[in-house]
Amino acid sequence: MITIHVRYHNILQRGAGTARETVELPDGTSLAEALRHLADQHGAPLREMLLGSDGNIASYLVIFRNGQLIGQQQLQLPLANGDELMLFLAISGG
Amino acid sequence: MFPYRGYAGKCLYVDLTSGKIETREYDKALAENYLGGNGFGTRLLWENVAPEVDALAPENLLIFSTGPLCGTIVPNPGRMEVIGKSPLTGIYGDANTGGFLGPEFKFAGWDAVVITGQSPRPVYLAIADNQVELRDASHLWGLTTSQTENAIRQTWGDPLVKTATIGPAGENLVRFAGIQITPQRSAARCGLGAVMGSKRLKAIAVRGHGPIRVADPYRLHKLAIALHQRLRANPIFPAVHASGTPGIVSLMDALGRFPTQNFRMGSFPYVDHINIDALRARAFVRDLACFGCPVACDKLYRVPDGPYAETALRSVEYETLNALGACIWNADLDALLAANRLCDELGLDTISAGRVISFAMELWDEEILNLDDTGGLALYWGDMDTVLPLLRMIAYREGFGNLLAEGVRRAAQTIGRGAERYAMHVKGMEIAAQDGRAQKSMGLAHVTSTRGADHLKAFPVIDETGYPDEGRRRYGEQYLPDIVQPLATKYKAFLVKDGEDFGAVVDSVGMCKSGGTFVLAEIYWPDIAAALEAATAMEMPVERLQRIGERIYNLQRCYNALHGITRADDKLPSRFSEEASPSGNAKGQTIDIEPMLEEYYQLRGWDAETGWPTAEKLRELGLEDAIERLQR
Repeated sequence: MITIHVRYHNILQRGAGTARETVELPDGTSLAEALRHLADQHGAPLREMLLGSDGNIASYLVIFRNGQLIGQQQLQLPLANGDELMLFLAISGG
Repeated sequence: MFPYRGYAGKCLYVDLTSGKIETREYDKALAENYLGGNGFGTRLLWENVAPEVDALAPENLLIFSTGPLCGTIVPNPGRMEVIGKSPLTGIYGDANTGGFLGPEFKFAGWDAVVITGQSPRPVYLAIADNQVELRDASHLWGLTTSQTENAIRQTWGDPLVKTATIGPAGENLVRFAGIQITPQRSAARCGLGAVMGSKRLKAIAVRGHGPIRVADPYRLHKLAIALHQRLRANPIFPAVHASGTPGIVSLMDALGRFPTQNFRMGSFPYVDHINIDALRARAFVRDLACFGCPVACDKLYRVPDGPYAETALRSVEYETLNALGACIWNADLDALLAANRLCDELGLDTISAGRVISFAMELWDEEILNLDDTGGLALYWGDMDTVLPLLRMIAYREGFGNLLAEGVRRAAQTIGRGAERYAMHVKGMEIAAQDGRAQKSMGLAHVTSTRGADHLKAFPVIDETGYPDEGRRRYGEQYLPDIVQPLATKYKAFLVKDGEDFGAVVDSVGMCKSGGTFVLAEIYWPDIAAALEAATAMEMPVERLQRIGERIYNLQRCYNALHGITRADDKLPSRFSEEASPSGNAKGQTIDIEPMLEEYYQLRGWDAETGWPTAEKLRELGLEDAIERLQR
């Protein structure tokens, strides 16, 4: 098993009901699988924020893994023990 | 008779030297070629304020200008522009504001107010529909912005009067004084509050009761409903609504583009103390909105207890949370909100105010400044017991504050001793909370902006986070993934140019860049073209609208060229190319602006050596008069 640390930002906190959590997952779990796990654990409305209407990981979800911005093409890479994920919606501006 | 609907059809021209107030019909050719708002002001500045005119001289113009969609039913139609030569940069200057003032101008029957001259005594301009007069403001001189607004309302006896006011900073000609707009919005940048102060114009107060007549109400209504629905269906809409610009604080921090300690770093270790979650938990009262805005990104905040108890304010923005937070190493949210409120009261641009202080703090840290220089002030990072009094000293030009009131470029020149290296500006304008090392298009946007360092001219938001949907929707699949990747440089010249031209149009019609045109990226060229046709009856194919945006931006560049601006001025401070970003997603990144700039000039049809629009380009845009003036 691996342990990952998840940080929710902005309205994702409302969906998750928490700002942070630590989750245990099987070895080899990919980022996409981890996000689906979180969606299943918390249910709606977090599910609607993490997954698009097609059930795939939402393209408007901004994910940082250990401080690095993760692109859609990296969603299938396996997570490692101790990984830290930060989740945002792709709000922009200034 | 002015032929187009959507406009009020007339403007006020006020000469404060003579006290003469004149009504003029809106210029038909100006509407056709420049729309209104930003374009209208650009053209007037070009024609009437020569390069040799000092920004604080009576001959400078101060133009309050609405657009043809301002006050209508399209989403976010509450914006207006203020244009004049900038005392901060000495070149083209403008500031944009939301709130309710723009629509009130239109309801009163005016598209714009053009102010020149200098009053012999403090005055304010009172506009009650067709009744317009200059009133004595001697009793208001010295008051803060909210005191002024309240005093005018009380005298008027109407709580719905909307105002544009300056505070002590504008009166004292602080070069980054802003203009405070009902309700607690700001036309903040470029120091146009000092222009207002130089004219001894304390305020403009407006009350209107008339309609805005549009050409095709049925079509405009249908279009507006569709736009409102699209905005609300956007998956990011709930986040923008819930948090406004403070919602991006932690995201920008993670990207490494949240300037910290005067751009030494791009991430703030105490960001959790000043982000949207902290702000909401500590001080949220309720949601607010500007005129006609479905996004309602504005909020009312109030500090509940402690030393700054009952500090209440709205329009707390990402930029201010950075300028008076991370950039000066301040993690005390209550003190930050108090400083924000103080800037609003004094009439200071929070961005430039924060930047001159972070500049001074870095000089202190580098031992370039000492107690003799500062008049006994120790400028330690994050010391809000110093920052709050220093903001007052700046506004009243007292002691060391008098030096900082000049902005970072002039202050650095005066200090010498290598201080210029720490002055984070482009063309004299302090850089906002947008680090080009972490988002390459933003670095380019800062140097090509016509008002000096600025994120809002090009406003390249679609590549802040790498979110592909907005890029796909706006530009098509062929530009992905580069165009949405923050660290990529490919296509960024194209992105910046398109944003500048589109932004010039958004600022000229009276719409908001944060309410769907840039943020959310829902409303684009075809939508505004269609809305303009329905509102004005002007034929507006997309190509014509794009040409108008390009014309406005080129004329601003020409105006700056008359002031000696060339390619050599299109540069970032050396920190951005020499010091790698130490944090966040941008760790290890610097920015090399030149390849993007080269591509940008090519796309613009500008001369690669001078950075000026070529004669061919100007002819194409119908700017033959600019060819002649530039050749002179």
